[in-house]
Amino acid sequence: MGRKILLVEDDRTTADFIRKGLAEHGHVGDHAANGRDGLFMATDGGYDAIILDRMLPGMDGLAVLGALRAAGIETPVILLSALGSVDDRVTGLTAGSDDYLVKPFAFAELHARLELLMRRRGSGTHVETVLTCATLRMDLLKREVKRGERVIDLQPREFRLLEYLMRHAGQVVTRTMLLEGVWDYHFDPGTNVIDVHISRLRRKVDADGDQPLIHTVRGAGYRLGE
Amino acid sequence: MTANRALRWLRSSHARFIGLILLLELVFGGALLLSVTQLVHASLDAADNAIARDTRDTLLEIERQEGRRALASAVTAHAQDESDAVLLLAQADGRRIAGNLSGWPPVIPADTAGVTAKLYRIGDTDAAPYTITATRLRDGARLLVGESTDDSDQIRQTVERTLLTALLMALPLAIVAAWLVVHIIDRRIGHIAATAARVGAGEIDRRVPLDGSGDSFDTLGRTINRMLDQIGALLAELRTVTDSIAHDLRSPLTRLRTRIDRAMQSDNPAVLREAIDGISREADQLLAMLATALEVSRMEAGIGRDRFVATDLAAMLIDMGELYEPVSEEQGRALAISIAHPATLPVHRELLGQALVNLIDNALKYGAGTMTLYLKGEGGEIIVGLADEGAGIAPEREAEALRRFGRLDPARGIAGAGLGLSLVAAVARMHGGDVRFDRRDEYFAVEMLLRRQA
Repeated sequence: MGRKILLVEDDRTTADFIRKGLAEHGHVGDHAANGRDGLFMATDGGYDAIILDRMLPGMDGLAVLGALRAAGIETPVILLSALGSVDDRVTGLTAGSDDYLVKPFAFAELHARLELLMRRRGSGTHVETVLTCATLRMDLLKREVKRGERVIDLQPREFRLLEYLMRHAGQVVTRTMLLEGVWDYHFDPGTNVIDVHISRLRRKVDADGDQPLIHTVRGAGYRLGE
Repeated sequence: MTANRALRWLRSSHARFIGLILLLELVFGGALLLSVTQLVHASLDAADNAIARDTRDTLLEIERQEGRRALASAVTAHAQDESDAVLLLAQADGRRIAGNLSGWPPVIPADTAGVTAKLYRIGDTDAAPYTITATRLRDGARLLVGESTDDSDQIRQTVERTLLTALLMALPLAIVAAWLVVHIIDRRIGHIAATAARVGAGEIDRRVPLDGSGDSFDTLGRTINRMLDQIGALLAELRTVTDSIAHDLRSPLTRLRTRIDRAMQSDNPAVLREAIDGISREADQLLAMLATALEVSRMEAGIGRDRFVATDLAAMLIDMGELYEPVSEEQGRALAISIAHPATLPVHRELLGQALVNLIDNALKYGAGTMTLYLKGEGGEIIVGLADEGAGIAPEREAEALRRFGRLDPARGIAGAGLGLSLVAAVARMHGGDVRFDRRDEYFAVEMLLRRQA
């Protein structure tokens, strides 16, 4: 399903890299090379998401973001930045962006986060008590997980990990997204910390003979689905 | 243009200084002039009056002893002797009996003392000022005695002129004095400005010459010198940091370069694929190194203290343990958590988390046996540490390990951006503490001391 995405980025190479990636996934990517044009195009509206570089000529990315939010435009925004420190990230998020991605990044990471943002926007905020995916069923009230008729016994953290995957079923979820979503830490865990958690979870969820539900997406992360 | 410059000069502190000194000189001189003239006036007037009274008293005495005729001849004689006096013996109606005035001047009352008037003596062409004493005699006749004030006036004028001249001569002196003062100030400020200029031009070791007097210039110089010392120290540190970054980046960059060269010589897709994977890993490592270096620099600059939030450290350690337990188990290692002293401290959660991850990573890569993540109290300090059963870092290599990219055994070829201990130490210092090592038999721990009041 194609989406309309605005990319505000002054670096040609990065811009081409992102636009190519967006096109491959069937999205329409409009490009603005400076903050002023970006703000102008974003105000016109009609975009499903905005990818905004933090450091731009003419008008700083944070200023563009501030102007957008002040104008009541709630299009989801991902900030891109070469500023990778924890504090820069927090500043970006408190300034009104929905996500923050440090350069350099893999396109898969950007795409996964973009999908997440646009999905979140579409889904509204209704409260779910039961999550399902194929024969997998998670009861959030009873804290119970079943694969078909088989009850799966999960540690609390495994439960939250699976809950995160199920809430984003069908989407690619990256390792850093999992660390953020489940553990609330924003650093790069570096080693295969998350992979091991997933493989444990996979052993419990995808037992012998079951159709595998937890898939590894090469170079990106994981996806829960049939 | 020139008017502008003049205006600018008038606003300068030089002009204000000189103006102030001139003004003070003028006020002071004027006051002096006024008071001296007043004094001279008063005393000269008193003297003239006294002479006139004395003469009158003598004449009255003559009349009392020798009669009116004697008085008349005494007046006549006196009028001839004294060139600077007026004398008149007149009848009750003012007509002259004797003396050097032709008649009683209408402006002078019959009984008075100390009146000043300009009078014409017989034979005079010009009126001259006199201070006059007049007395009515018993039979109604009148006696007038006056003393010329001409001499006094001259003295007065001389005094006034002298003072005025002195005042005027003092004016250029005052200007010179003001200029000298300004010059002295200029010179002292000039030293400071010259030093600042040379430091600005790159001679960072220049210092303001001090005279040890402790006056405000000396204090200013001292303060500036202290500031320059601080700047110098920071610059030296910065140089060390950039040098070490450059040095530490060189080897991974060289490795990267070599891998690329080797890949370019091959046509085998499998080899290429592997080369690209390797290059990608090296690049990631470089990025991680840079990120760590930046984070440490920021912490050392004190950035991020505003993000401290009260955090349950025990819960945090348990979280961390849970996060790393599977990967530890996979590598055949156990990760235990020991909470001897639960504590809630304001900490930078992300950075402290990162530091703990670095410790666990190190223990996984370089340590041995069971790892224990522990929290304990010691005096006013909270200690978060990670122990394992390996040999740990040799004492003589501790300093190296704490260096920004310290990586003790590159030959082992384990991937990683240094030990990350510099980050651990920076995080500890950010929380008011430090990092230390605890070394025993088959036990090695890295501990972060955190202060409660941090």
